[in-house]
Amino acid sequence: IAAAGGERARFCPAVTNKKNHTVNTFQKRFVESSTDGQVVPQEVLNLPLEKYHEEADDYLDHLLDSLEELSEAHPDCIPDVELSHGVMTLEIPAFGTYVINKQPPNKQIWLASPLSGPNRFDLLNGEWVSLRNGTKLTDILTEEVEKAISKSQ
Amino acid sequence: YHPKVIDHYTNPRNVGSMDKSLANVGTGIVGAPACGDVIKLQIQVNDKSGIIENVKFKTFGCGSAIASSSYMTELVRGMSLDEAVKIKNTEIAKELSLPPVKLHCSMLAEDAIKAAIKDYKTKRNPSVLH
Repeated sequence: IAAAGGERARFCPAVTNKKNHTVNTFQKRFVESSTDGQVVPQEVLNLPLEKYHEEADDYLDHLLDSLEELSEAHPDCIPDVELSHGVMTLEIPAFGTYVINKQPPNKQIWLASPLSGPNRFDLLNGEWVSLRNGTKLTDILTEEVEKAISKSQ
Repeated sequence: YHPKVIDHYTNPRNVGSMDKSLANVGTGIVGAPACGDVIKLQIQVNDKSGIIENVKFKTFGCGSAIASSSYMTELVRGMSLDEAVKIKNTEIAKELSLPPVKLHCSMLAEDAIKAAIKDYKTKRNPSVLH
């Protein structure tokens, strides 16, 4: 677990205690959106597409690096992780198959987790955050991967 | 795909639409046309009892999105608004045995019923502005 803790620091360098900070910047959006019509921050709406691709690719590349390292250290727990054309597939036999993919039309990253279900993440203050429930992609993945690793030990 | 998905896809329940200008009809349209899937789900609510008496949907999208919304209409008919708003995507994904990449379809169906309920409630309380 100590190793997993060490991984966590590398895994989510940008995660700080900014949990309440997104709420204030929300603005009312007057069209129905894919996220059940709730408020969408201006920062999310104004993100340029090139910037989205850059940030999302960068995020997924780093995620791949972290997960590959973990996979080498815990091959039983994480036997396989692949990234191809913006779609990451992560095998965690204890839970099932994860799919993490770019969704360029929405400028989002989507997560399908066998444990916590689906969610969509927008880039807010440099982090991929769900506007549905405020959770962060990195936090969810860190928690679930740590759970899988601790389960296998 | 699971046979239940095929069943809903080939024989979708409650397809159609209602007059969205009616005070007791709530309409939810969710999805991004750019990425393919759009669900329109409408509920007709009994103003006195708060029970969903009729449901219609139209979905443009993949088989799982159609099956998810079709199943959702079966699920919420006869429910109270309070019950319907609590439906989780996991319930739909489980019933239809959706594969990982298709979990998002069940979430879209959850969003659709929530949006429809929200629309109905907004119509009922037009003076509440946020």
